[in-house]
Amino acid sequence: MSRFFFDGEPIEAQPGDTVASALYRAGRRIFTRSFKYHRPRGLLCLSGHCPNCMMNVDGVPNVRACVTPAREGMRVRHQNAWPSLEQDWLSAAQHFDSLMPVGWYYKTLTHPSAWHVAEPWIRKVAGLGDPPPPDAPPREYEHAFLQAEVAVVGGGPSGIAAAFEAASGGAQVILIDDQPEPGGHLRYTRPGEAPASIAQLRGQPNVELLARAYCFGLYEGGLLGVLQADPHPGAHERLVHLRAKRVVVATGAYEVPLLFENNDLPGILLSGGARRLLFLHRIVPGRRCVIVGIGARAEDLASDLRGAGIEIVSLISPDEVLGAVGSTRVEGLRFRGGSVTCDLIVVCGPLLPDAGLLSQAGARLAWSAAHGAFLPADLPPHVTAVGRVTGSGLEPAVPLPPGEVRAGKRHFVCLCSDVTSQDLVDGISEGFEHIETLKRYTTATMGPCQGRMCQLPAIGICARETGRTMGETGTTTARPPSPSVTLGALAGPRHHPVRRTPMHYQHEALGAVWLDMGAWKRPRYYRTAESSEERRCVQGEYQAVRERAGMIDVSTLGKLEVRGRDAGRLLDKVYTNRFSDLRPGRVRYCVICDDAGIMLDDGTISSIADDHYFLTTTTGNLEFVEQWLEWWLAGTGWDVHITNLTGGLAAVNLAGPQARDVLAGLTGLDVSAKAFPYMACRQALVADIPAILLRIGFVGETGWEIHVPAESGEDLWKALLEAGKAFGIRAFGVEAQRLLRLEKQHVIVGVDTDALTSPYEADMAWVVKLEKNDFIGKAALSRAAGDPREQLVGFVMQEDGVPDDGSAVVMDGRPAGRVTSSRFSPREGRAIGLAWVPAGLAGEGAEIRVRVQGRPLLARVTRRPFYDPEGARLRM
Amino acid sequence: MRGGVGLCDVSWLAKIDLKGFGLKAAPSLGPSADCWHLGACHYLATFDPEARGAVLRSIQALTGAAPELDLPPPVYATEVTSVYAALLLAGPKSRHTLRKLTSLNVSESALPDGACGQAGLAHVHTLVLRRDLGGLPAFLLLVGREYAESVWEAIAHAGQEFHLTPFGLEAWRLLSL
Ligand code: FES
Repeated sequence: MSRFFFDGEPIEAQPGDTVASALYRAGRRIFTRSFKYHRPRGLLCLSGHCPNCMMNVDGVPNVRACVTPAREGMRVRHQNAWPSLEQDWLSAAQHFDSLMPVGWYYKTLTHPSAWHVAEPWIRKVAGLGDPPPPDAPPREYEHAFLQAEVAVVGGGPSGIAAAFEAASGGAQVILIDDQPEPGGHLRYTRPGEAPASIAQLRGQPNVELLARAYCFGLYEGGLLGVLQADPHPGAHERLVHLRAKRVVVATGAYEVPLLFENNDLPGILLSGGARRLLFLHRIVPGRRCVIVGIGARAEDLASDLRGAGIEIVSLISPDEVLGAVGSTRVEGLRFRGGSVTCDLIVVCGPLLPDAGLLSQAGARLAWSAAHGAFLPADLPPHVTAVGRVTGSGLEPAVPLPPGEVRAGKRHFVCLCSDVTSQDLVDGISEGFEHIETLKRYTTATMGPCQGRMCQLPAIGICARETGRTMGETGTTTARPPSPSVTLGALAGPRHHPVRRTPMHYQHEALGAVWLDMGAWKRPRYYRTAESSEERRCVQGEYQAVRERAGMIDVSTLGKLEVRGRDAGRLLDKVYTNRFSDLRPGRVRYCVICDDAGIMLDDGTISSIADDHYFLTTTTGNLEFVEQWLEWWLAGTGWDVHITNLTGGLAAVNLAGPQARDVLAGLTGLDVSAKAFPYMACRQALVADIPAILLRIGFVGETGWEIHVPAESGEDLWKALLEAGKAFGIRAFGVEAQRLLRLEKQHVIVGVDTDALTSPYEADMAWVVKLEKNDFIGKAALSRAAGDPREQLVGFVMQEDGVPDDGSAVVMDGRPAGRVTSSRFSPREGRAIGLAWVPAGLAGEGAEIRVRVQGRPLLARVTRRPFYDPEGARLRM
Repeated sequence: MRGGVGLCDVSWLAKIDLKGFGLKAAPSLGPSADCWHLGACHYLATFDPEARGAVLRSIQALTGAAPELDLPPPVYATEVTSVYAALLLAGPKSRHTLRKLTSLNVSESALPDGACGQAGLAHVHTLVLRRDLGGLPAFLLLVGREYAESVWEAIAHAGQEFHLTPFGLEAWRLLSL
């Protein structure tokens, strides 16, 4: 025995109870209010197929109470009614139904002013359920990837038989069943007669049973989308990607309601619903019952209900029925030639094959007059269907000849969106004769039941009104997901990969404020004892680099090793610069362009030996560069081998006028300008760690990029900090680095350049060697070498104000270019930056206007770096 | 973990990447190294660092080309020990844990002992190397070192339902006996 809360009230639940069965036992008959007219609705199918029991469970909207197990402490709330299900003031809507004819919103809300008046009100009352509030506790969803030789969808008698047969043949089988127990309809049509094969099946080691799981999509390549509820206590739902060589669909049949007046009143149950209440939950659904149905199914039902002590007042054939009587629950039934009073009407509705999955997989649905249903045909080769979904074992349909389907304003075809048979007739008379357009116009079959309850009567009415047969009228399209799937389940676990450099925790200890670059975590700047204000911290870091020494973790750079006899040849082909002549011990700046001469990435290439190069790429482009090289290598037969070393190397850029002094204290290598000049590379021990040192300078000072094995990264970092103490060394972050490089007008590919930039436009003609044999982008670059239309230039603001990155450059009040990067330069005492301007404005000293907070401020173009334009400091 | 699943950081395992047109078949590196076939002319050797000397000697023997023929060296060896973090997921429920993280088919038939595959695992490119441990199914998962912490967390989370336990070197030794 457990207890949950419905609208705050405690409800007792028996073992095996669903939320709906416990509420029914507690006397609740109204479970929802309908979408449009707010009519009271009660349990109907008890199998999760109709919209009648959707509630909010623990904050999740639109949960079907009849298939949700009751659990201790659950909080269940009603939806779509105010103030309560019993007294819903919005139910007044049904008295104005003449104001809301079919398609009324297309007809009445066409004028913009009408829409503006109506919109707030419609927003309030329309829609289904409320999304959980943003502060709701997060739910755990997970994904799983399973493979099977045979997947069987449906745990009824045919599904069990199919699974057993496949498993006996030795195949790996996964059986998907949406019920807590296998057995399908036998569980409530012939309780206690569960087939022996269930126990046998459980004994098979090569069968996996997914209970409380439904298949919502049958995709190409034998992929099944499966949603499993409560896979284990730690997860709410599990989305299973199941790949199967063969799929057996044994989804069985489902029952749909009949059309008569007030056919939606609470107290009208489908026979399957009544049986489920009785046999699965031991609930006697009423005292005086009328059964609508004919034949053996109705007789059996009558005897089962009588057995439970229910008085069967009458058994009436569907074509005799005129309508149900009652306002909020059933009080009687009118039929041709009389009426009876009762508190329960059980309808033996037509049983239809549940062929949605087959249809998704490409099967055709063919009308069978004998079954009164559309049956699957022409299945794809890896899919088979067994059992009632094929139509076998279904008794001839309850006669529902199209001519007898009555049109009425209280004959509900579509329970989800309150579409009546009259609405359909009206829609057809307005010209929407095709079943697909009729569907869109009336919204029938478009609600949460996804057409299960209403498709057949809608087709029937359409066929009759247009004088076609059912087969000619056809069905609407089945699309996954069906049934619906929560977005959380599709999104999956809340796990985002994070890349941490080997020095991550050193940065943390130094007070790093993090910046996310892709999955990488990089220090944006470091808080200090004096200040945690970004501007002051960055300024301090900046000064350390310009005046003393600074160090930055650049482990995030992509690092590739390219080896092999033809390595230089490949690099010559892929990069715009020449590399085959790069002597061992030298470094060269490099740019990759595509066929159109667009800059894709930049970096450095160091020659370690004639057949051995060490490449760095920008942080975000490693995967791209690796693939690009492999792509151009493919099929050449060249002896080139590329290995990604990114995670294996920690890298620190040590820079500043005193960087040499810091480094000299840690290595026996001669680091004098003569022995280790600018753009050279060496291998040596630094702080007793084997390292590759590149003498390069992104920030414009004497500097080294030091690469060491990742596990020694922390040691190197600490050793540098320690050795640099005497010189006033500071660790600096990405923000200071950006400012430092901006003073040197160093371009960041992808920030200052875009998908149309050639090296000429970026003022980097020197990286292109057109005299080289063919290389990628050569033809396009030869043409572009002339005069670019736009130019990337440096600028200095002449007035106060720092433009945001992306600000417009304006000419005669019109945008003519844009700022790509801008920062306040402590050196210049004003903002500096890089901007795209038309070629006519790109001359040295040209005046441009940059929009800063709405005002066009004066700036001056300069093509020379602001800091050390000759690069003397780099070479010192 | 004999009943469930355990996770062990074995990033100290030595790893050497072997590429070259001379690698038409798995090179023999002696009993102490495992050689994983990652692609055409591409292998990865994993071994206990204590065996490094012997393994390097075997590799050395492979890399020298016949000098009289003007051919490129048949094998290029690159030390990648630090490039990959190595996580060992072992136990009867290791497969169940992996199924929650990767679309790679890790069933007995698709990935038997000694087989390997590459796939996204918790959205991170991973080499999945099946290497059973004293009769227990076990998988050696190699991810870029920079992802190690994040992948460890994802695996630990996925294994919660099977009571995943981290284990150390001592337990690893006991199990490998
Ligand atoms: S009664 Fe729950 S879905 Fe029909």
